[in-house]
Amino acid sequence: MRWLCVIIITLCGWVHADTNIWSSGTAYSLPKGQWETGLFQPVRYGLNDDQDIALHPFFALKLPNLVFKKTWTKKNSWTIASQHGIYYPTPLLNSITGTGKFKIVAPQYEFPALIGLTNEILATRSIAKGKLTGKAGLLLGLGGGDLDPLSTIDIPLVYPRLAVYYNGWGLRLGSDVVAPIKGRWSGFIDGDVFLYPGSSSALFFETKVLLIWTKSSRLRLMVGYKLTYGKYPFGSHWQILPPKLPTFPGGWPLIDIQITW
Amino acid sequence: MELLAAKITEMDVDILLLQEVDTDSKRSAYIDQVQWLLDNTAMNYGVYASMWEVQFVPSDGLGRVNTGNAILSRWPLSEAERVQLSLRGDQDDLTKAFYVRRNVLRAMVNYPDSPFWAVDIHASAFSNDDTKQKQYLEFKAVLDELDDQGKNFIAGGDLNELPPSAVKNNYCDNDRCPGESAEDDEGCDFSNETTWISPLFDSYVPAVSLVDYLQDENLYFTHASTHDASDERYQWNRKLDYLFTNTNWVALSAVTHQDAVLESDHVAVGAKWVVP
Repeated sequence: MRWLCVIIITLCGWVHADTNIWSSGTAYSLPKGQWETGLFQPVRYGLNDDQDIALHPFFALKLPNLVFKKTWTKKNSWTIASQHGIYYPTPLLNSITGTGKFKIVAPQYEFPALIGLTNEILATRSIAKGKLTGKAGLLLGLGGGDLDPLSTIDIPLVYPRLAVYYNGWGLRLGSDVVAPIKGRWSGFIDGDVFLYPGSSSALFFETKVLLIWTKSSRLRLMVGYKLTYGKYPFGSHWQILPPKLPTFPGGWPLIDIQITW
Repeated sequence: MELLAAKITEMDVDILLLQEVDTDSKRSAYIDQVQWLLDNTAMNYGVYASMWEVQFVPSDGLGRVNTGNAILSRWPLSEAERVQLSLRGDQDDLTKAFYVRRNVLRAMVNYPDSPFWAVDIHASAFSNDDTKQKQYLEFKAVLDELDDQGKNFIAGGDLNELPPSAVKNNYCDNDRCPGESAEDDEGCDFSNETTWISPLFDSYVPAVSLVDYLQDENLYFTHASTHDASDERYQWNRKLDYLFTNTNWVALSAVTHQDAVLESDHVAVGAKWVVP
């Protein structure tokens, strides 16, 4: 508890300036030299005013990843960008394969070199006082031809993101809306669909609802829930995240802190 | 599963008491084994009681698990009830929250003009305290209730316990895998448990009497230290599985199917019972 308090105090100490740069998930790129991150979000950095890069530092060693976004143009009030990501999940997957606690893939499986590529188009425009973003992307999973179909990790969020390596390719479509509610409060809602044509687990849907409290242009707190649906190997399944656990039967909401500097 | 179905067909079984039946588990490719056995044997009716239903077990690659006891029957089943057994008392609260919930499954078999009850148990395997003793008493209480009501029953399952008169009662040296230390031993030392299932033998009729058992223990063993055929310890070395009734078994009808080595990690115990 003590270290958590220290972190929060430290974050508050960074609060200064007044730039509206929350652009994660939109077609806008971070301004040059700007950093942005969150508890459950990657670190993003503005290369220049129309390009940024992002990576998840906590996973970087086991799941090397990098996403590059470029804002191309503005047309009829829509800002258009493309986003390109590369992922190498093999070290992470092999590290969680085996026997014992936290080995979540059975030991008889082995993961070859897998490379994931994402290529998305994002379009963002202002609506009222908020922003609307639409996105469409092609997902490619390379190297998964020999993957055993029983080696999957059949839980929400994870299965839809690894399914591309088993299917070879997929599509991701989605949209986000963020809009002010009152004062420092705003709301965010998004929806994403993952499609894997030809697979028996071909459809996944995720939607997230967040209430955002903006402390300043440098810090904001988010609380909400995510609803997921998918056709998993065991059948269709709806789930609210975070999940309830036997130890916390009442459940708790999704909490995130986002900062920029 | 096909071997199991073939064995069930060969045995011409009327009632099956099953344990560790998966209905929705990653480890068994999400096959509903209750339905599969109904579809592939002469069994017509089934009831199921889960002992472990977890969306995701983050160890040993288990993932999604739903496993438990099942009763299959040629005749309609009704009034099925899952009776919760005591949880292990030797685990911390966190582990206990995610651990298996052992139970007794009972159901009425609607045999024409003469219904009777089938009772299925799978007791704790690895507890090192008195959990199993509590569970046996709870199992006996279920049987006593039926008996007191004048109802006939056949009962049984995996008690994870040695017969009261077993010659050997410590298998820790046999069960320990290379590299494992004695500190990790679980459920292999039965020396303090020699009388724990005596009340069942005292009150009801076992398919294998203790007299028969003691004449040649090897004939009645139902479990092995390992299920790896290449391991030198691969041989049946203890009896953990039992059948009881409050009427009588057909004399000399009990069979311990030690030939069925690939069908299960326990040997099936069968016996003939005449509906009163």
